[in-house]
Amino acid sequence: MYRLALRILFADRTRYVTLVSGIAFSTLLIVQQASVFCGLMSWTDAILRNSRAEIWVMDTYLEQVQLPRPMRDIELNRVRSVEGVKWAVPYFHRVLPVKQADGQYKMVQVIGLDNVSLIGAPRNVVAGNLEDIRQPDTVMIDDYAVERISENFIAPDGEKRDVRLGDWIDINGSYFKIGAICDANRPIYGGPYIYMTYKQAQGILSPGSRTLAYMMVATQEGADIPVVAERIKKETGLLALEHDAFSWKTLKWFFANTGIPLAFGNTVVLGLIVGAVITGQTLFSFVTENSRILAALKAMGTTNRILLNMILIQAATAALVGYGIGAGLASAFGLFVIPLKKPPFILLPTTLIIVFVVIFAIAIVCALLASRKVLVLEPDTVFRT
Amino acid sequence: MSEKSEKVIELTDIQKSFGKGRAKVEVLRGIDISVAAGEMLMIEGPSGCGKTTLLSILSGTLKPDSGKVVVLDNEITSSTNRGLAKFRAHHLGFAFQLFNLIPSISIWENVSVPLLIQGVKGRDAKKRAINILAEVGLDDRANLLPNRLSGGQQQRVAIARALVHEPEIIICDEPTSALDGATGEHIMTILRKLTSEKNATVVIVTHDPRIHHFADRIVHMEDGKILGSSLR
Repeated sequence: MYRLALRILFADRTRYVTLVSGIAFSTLLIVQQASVFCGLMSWTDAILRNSRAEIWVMDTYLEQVQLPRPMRDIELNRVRSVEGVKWAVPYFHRVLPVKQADGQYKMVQVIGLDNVSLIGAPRNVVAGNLEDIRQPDTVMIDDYAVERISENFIAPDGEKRDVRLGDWIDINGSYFKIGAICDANRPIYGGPYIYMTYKQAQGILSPGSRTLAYMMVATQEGADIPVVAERIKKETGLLALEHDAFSWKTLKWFFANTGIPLAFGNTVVLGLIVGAVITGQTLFSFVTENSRILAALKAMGTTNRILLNMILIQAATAALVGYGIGAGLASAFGLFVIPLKKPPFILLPTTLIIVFVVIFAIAIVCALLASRKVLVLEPDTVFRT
Repeated sequence: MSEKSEKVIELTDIQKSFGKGRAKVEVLRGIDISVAAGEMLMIEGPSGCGKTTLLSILSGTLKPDSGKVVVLDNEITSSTNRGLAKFRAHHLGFAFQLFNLIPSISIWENVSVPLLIQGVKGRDAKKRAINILAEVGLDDRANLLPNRLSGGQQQRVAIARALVHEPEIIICDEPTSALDGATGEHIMTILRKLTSEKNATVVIVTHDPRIHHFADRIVHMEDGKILGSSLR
């Protein structure tokens, strides 16, 4: 009988296509939106993805990584003197303007790295040499900066082209040569990244400005990282967070202070509603339109349990096929946009599992609701015209 | 008519009403009837006389308010719904007025449904369905969908479906009312032939006097009671 249920499902092409399309669309919408949401959330802590440290030290009242509260440079020595700290290096972060050929400005995020070690630089240098940024007035820009600055870039010879190694750019009134290009994670706002030494970054700002946005800390071998972080906090009065804790703090800030989760949540809920309505409506109409045949099956000896299982199998099969198509389309969308880096797209296995469970649950609940009508159907209905 | 003494269906003092209070309608008022093995019994009477309700009760698809229903030595009034379903699946075949074939599956698949309900495996079910379709002259149409057949052919499929699992009792609800006279005669000839060969008992509710001559016995109902019966 269960094979017959599938034959009935597949043979009723209009209903089958409607059911599968509804579930596929719902899955596509949910998976695609959830993946873009995850991608967008990964942009919130892009700085931390580009620069890894065991412990980040910052101003006590800092809310998230994109909103630094610069400290006095003297704090660096205080942190270095804490027991368990192997080394601590300064980290400059400031949003500054880059002047364009047409006189307009584009905002960029200037990151200043330790002059000697360059700790915190992105690993993936795609052109030039990271070491070159130790040379005077030399910077490394990320691929997004190439894209943004090139929009209005005119070379000294008057040629309109993309910026490249050796070109000079005006950052906050100072000229810098592009010595390297790297591939970095994109930020959620604030513009692309430009990396330089801490000393050069200090020189961009007016004298006396506080420049120490963060401190990157490594612990001594065998030291307990949370204990060292707690010790830094206690001895300096600054906030010291492990890398992942800092990421979470940033992520939580975006959840609490922006409408992003709500906007994506709305679309996901819409996807769920679309899936539920189409599945429910299709199964209800199937049961209603076929009530006479279902009654005939009952009269012929089909039990309620078998009829219920038949409807559940139909719903589960349609859910499985629809989910496969929807998840496949969402993956194809991801494969298309990932190289473009916009919109951001991170398809997590967890997303696929959760969406599968939700879609399956919707199909089963709809089937159970629709089958209530079948369960109360009297077999003698078939004799009544 | 041949000697038929063994009772396969026996109804005693069957009462059935629908509704409550002032809206209560007594549909069956103390029906006593028995059907012998191999007999073709027709129940006839005006609309609303209770013949369909009687058919529902003796086929185990509806329970009476009171009275006793014994089918094939089973007292079915006290059975559970699940028990009744199993009983119907194994001992009863049904042919309905509007055929009730599943439109989206082929003819042989429709015919195999009672076998599948019994749990017969797909390949065996197909073989048996094709065999019975050959007996009603439709084996060459086995792979078509029901809507490709005429009304008479669809009723032949329905009869094949009623007989495929070789039940002892066939229940027919107005099997010829949707058909023209010649087609109805043809359908009844097939039904009579096949049920005689298999010694099946047939109970038919009908309005159609053109088929009365096929019956072994005709029961006349009116106002929820049996007025009498006539042997053919």
